[in-house]
Amino acid sequence: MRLLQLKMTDFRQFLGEATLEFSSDDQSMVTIVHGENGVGKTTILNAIHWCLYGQTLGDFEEPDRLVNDTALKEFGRTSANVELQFVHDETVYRLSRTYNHTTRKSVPEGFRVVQGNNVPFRGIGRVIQRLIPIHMAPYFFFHGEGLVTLGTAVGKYGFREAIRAILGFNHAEKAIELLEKTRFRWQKQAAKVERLDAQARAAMEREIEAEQRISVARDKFAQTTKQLKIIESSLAEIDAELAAIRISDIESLIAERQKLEARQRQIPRELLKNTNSNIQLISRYGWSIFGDSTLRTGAGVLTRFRTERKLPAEYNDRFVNSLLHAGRCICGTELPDSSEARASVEAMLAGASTSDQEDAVNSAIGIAENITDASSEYTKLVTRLSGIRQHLLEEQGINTRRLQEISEQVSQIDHKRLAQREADRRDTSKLLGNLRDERHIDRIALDNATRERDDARRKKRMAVDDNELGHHKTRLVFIDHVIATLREIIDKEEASARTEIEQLINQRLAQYSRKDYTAEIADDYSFRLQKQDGSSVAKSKGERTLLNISFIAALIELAKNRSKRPHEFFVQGTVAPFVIDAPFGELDNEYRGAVATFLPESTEQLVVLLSSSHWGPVIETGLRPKTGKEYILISESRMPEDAGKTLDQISIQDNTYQCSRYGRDLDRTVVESV
Amino acid sequence: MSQTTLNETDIDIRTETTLKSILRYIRVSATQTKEVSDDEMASAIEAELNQALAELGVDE
Repeated sequence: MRLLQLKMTDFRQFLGEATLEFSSDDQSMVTIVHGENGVGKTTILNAIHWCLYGQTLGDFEEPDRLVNDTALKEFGRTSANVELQFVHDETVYRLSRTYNHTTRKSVPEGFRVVQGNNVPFRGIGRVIQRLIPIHMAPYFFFHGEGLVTLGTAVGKYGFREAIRAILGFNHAEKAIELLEKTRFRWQKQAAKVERLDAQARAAMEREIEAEQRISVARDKFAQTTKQLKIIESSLAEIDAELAAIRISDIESLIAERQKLEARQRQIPRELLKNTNSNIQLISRYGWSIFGDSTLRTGAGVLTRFRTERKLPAEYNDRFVNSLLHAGRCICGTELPDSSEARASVEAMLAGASTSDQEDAVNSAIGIAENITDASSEYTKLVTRLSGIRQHLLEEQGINTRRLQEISEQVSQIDHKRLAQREADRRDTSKLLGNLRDERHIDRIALDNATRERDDARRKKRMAVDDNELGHHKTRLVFIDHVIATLREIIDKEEASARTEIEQLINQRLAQYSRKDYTAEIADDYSFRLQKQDGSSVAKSKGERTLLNISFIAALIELAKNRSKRPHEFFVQGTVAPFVIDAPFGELDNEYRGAVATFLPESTEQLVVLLSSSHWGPVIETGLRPKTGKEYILISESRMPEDAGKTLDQISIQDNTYQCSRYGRDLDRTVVESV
Repeated sequence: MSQTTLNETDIDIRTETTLKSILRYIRVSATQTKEVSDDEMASAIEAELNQALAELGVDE
């Protein structure tokens, strides 16, 4: 990441627009900003930090008063804006942040600059966090006073983490964090499986115990059932025996006998009645019986002759008279008066039947038929009476035989045996009841044991097998190995980085320190100066500042170097601009020269904010070869020129520049390029 | 058939490739415009680990 441009509008000392272009090419990557105290050097450092993160550095006074006073009070402008352009991986980004004095809130807007056009880009915050996370910002946007106090941060929480982030360990550390999360989840799963495994073992024991109980209960149940069957059989026998000899049965037999005897007395009466009925039938229909056959024949003959027109004559007088009246025979022959044909027909009248004759024949047939019907009725009634008689006789026979049986049965009853078997039956019934209760209990025991076994089996099924538990344990072994391996890689890399930082610092010290001291970096990145014999050196303020700035420079240089050697496990180190305000305050002239020389060598881009008191030939000599842009912050004031104020000046490359102007229309700081 | 022990050589080799995959995934996730949540990343990492375990013959 390299800064390209900073534009401030109504931001603190800067009324209206103030723009700085940063030098960003490899050969001249230093930008120097000269300014006296209170003119706006620290404001520039904070403008960059605020634009990137929405907050100023900790020591920036009145961070809520960002809008320029004159803009606010005289021009009624209530907002301040900072725009920062930077480039990373050949993409130019523009971040604009506006502060509203009324709401006291700031609103950022991100863009990607594509072919000169601003394309809105909402992910710019993430890009910045990726390039320079906010907790690393203090090591890149640096106030000189911080160099003196850097040592106080050493070893404290966040210092080592920041260094590791600068060195590009953050993704590997993120991986460990996520792996630990996964491990925790797996551990919980394994614990659950282990619990299930324990439950499975308990369930298995319960199953075995239940199976034993089932076996006992089943045997007991079977035994009871067997006994029950025997007793039931005995009872059935007793019942069978008792059934044969029960008093109630005797009573029943006697009742039956009485009934049968009564019936036997009734049957002869019914037989007599039947005989009488038969006699009555004979007296009523007897006449028809004797002539029945003859009359049936006669009635048949008469009926046939009548049908064949043989009775009473072949033709009747009504027919012959109708022919004579018509004068024509049925054969078509005319029958004129006095003709032979007519005479023949008239002669037929003598043999023709009359109506009376026909009625007599019909009547005779009717009488014959009536007699036949009477005979049939008689036959039917006689048959029925005969059936009744037969039935009565059979019933009489059956009853006689049954009465004999009853008599025999009653005579065979053994009353003592009856009493004994009844007592047996009571005992057997009681035993049967007890056995049934016992079997019911056995059944409950069997059911309970079966249910318990089934429950144990279900729990066993729900639980895991040894293989699954083994699988979970193996997973943990693997993830532990993965985490340990990554930690080992990070530790190894960090140790290597620490050694490299130490070497870089010691190179600086060998080159620039007056004394033969070396630095030693501890695991927590605390560092100390030591003599050749290893004993610690009590550092002067200047030595401490030199050591601290050497440490930061070495760190930045290492990150820069690491960015050129891709690593399989780590991201490239943070390559960010180093913006430092008043870095030389505590250093003597020689050390200032040393820092001015090695800082450009260590960093990718350097922005140095200097007051005239920090500026001088030694520093200029160190920085000049790499300087691409140079600015002076000029304080303009409404105060009259003759107010007796000091006119600040600065000499740059043998030219003298005025740093303050009086008698101006407005109070403000302007940025002028050298 | 699942196995429950790991061969040391296999585990070393597979650990290295797994770690490279995981770190590559985190690196790529960090460059996405839309932020990838920790849960999403953890799921992806778990999937990678399970894949490695499967290759080591430790199937679920």
